[in-house]
Amino acid sequence: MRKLLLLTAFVMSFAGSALAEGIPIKFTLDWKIQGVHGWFYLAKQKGYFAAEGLDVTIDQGEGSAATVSRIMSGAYDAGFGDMNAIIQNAATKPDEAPVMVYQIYNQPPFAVLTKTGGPVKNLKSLEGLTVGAPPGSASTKLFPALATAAGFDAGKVKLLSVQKNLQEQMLIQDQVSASLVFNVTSYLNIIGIGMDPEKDFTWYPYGASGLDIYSNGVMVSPKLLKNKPEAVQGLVNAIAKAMADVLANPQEGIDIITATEPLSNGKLEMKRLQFALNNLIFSKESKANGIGAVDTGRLTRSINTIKKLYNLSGTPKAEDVFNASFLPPMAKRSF
Amino acid sequence: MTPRTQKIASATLIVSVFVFWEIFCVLAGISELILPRPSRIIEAFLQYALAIAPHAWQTLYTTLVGFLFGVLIGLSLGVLIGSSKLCYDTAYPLLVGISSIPKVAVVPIFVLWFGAGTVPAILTAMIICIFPIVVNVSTGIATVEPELEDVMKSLKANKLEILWNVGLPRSLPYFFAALKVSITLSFVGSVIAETVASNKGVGNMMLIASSQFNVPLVFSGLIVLAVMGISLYAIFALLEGRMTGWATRKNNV
Repeated sequence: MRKLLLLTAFVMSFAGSALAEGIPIKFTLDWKIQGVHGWFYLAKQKGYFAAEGLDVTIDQGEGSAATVSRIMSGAYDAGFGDMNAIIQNAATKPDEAPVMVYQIYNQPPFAVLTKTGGPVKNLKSLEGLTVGAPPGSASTKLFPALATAAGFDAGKVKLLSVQKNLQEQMLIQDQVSASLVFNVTSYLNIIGIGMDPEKDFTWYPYGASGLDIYSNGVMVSPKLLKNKPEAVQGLVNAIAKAMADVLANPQEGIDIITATEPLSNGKLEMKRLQFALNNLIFSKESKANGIGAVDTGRLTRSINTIKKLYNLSGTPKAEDVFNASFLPPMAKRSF
Repeated sequence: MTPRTQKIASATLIVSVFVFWEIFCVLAGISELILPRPSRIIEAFLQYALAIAPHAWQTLYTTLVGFLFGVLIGLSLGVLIGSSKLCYDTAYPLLVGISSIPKVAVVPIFVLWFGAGTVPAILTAMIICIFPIVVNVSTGIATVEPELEDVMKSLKANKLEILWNVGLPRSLPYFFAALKVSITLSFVGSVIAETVASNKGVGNMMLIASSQFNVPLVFSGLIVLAVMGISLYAIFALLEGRMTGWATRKNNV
């Protein structure tokens, strides 16, 4: 039975990749195909990966932290996932943790969402109020760290466990005064409900309140980094080139998404992409250092934040979790 | 009830459920984001039919391949367990344990081993459908009347011959009954795996649609699954009637 099983799996996994040439790279996204994944598909479609001698297979994902576990298991060589999950794993299993090589989301996507005109006037006024918090979500886990950074007492805030997909609804119905959300998702959910995310709601991004951790980017397995550094370089080059294309003409990225998955709603994905660009990717720091780079001082700070938050034993160094040696020249990463 | 009136009755029930649904949604003014009307679902289905087809094909493919392996493994295990008391007692607790695990919890593990995509869906469809087959086939074989076995023994048949000539034919009705249950379970397995980790398939399509608030399309996905499930069930029910019709009472009691 086991043999049969392995044999099937073996045949299945090789049937696709045996045909094409180049170094095979299995790449996992953080979630189902969305507008923010345009550059990855574009790099494949326009042959940027092939030009670098890579044969990249892109698979859809199940969460930005799951990207890290997928790579650590050996099933994937590279992926788009969360820096903080790398830090957690680098502290406990330094030899197996993936390494970030191209930091795409410069700002954390977490925010405290409140109704405009509601009881919350600033983060300090959350004390004594009920806040909806999805259990297991990174926004909930990071909340105590946000409190420390923003200078209020997390112990005085009543956290109510709420399903992710009910967060906005419960806020609208005043069952909670605020919700701890993932801003890209929430922003579009509110549009979907038929309300105006800018006028009807006030956002308090974690990043703006002093919790300046990094978020999703392109990471590779330590094995690929060690054995085939040229493949890592090629991967980063191709993605940077594709990103420049999408920044110059966002519609091109969206068109590739709708061509890959005809059921995608191009207009909505365009809004998602624009939101991610303005809120997660473009920042003062990425303007100064270029997309893909990190600030070592800020990264060291966020490593310490994560270490305290999860009571980690080891302290990874900034260069253990981020390898800057593959970044293309600044001109190719600026906007 | 004659078969004819029975058919009319079940068709009427199905139609009236949908009619009631449509009228209820219109009268209560329910938002399309919560529960779309059946007419909107059909409209969405027709609008996206071409885009849905590759997803439906992928789901059908993983379901059938998984089901095939599941049947092969389930049948062999069932024969083994059913024909030996020792095997039965030894392996049963393990089998029950494995089958009690919610399969949605297993998918991420398959993904860690084999990557996302077709393989986890096939494996999930496979493991979810093994258990009913094993239980049914082993029960069929283990419950062969002792008198029959005694007759065979007095004819100097050995264990294998008894299994081949009495046990296996005797377990066929059980086996085909299990197939009907298993094929629908396989479907559930495939879709579960697709919602967790895949690039294609109806489960994946429904997640993409719901992230874009295209609720009518989500419901179209459900309808596609229901129709595929019913068709496969019907095929195996037909097969059962052909193969083991002898075991079913013909006249009404």
